[in-house]
Amino acid sequence: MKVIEVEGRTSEDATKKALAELGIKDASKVSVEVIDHGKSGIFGFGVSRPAKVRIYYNESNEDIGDKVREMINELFKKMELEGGVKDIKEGENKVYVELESKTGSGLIIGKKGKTLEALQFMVNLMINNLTGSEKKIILDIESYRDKREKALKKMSREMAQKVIKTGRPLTLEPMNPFERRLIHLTLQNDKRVTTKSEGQGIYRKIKIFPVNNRK
Amino acid sequence: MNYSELVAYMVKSLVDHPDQVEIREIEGEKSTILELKVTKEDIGKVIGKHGRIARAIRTIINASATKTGKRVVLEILD
Repeated sequence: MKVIEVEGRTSEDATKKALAELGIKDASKVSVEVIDHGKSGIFGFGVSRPAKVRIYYNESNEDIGDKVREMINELFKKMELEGGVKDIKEGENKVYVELESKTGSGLIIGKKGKTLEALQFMVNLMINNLTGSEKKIILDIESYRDKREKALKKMSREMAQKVIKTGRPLTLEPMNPFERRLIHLTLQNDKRVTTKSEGQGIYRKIKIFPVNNRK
Repeated sequence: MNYSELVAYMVKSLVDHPDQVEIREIEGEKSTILELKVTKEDIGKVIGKHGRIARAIRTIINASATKTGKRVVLEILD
């Protein structure tokens, strides 16, 4: 539940203004509390006071998808990137957004997915701030997430093999929490190695240890 | 490429006082400097924990700047 306060000439006027601002068409979706009915000066005499209302509203979930689409298309336009939103699927806690771009998908993904990650982070923050929605927005393009997941699993297994063979621990490059979790999960059933995360923040990385030769 | 507009769009959607967001674009030969000014209370909202938000904004700007071959620097003034 969110609250805003709006002033207007009359309380009806203020309510209308508030609904327009929130982009809510159905007035029955909100509850209105009139704080001040206001006072109009007669023929310019006397002190006029604007009416003030307080609106309680729930950010309806149906609007989130549309807002996300609008925001991403606007961002792409401002970034001078060709493309936009291809498809949006809304789950209970998540919004999956599939992007498309004929010429710019590499740019949108960025090195090791850095740009896609930044875009996702920003869109989440902006939508959260503007609508109060707590749904997690996930951006994907050309099944990048799936491909990256498979590549990480494969890479981590290969690295584990190397650790087993040499008996020496290996440190992987820094990764975000999701990617680290994926690797911990991929290797947790392999009894010949253990995994640990080391370092702080964006520099946090996984180290794979051989089981017999653990330090 | 209008970087100010891109940054303004993102920053104004984050802060409590969008009307007090100021951006100055200083264009050089090889790089463009963007000076961002927000109210004191909003500074944390554009920097984020460990500079996470500032970093994301910079990453997005740099992705847009790749084509032009120019370096774009975002500075947050206080």
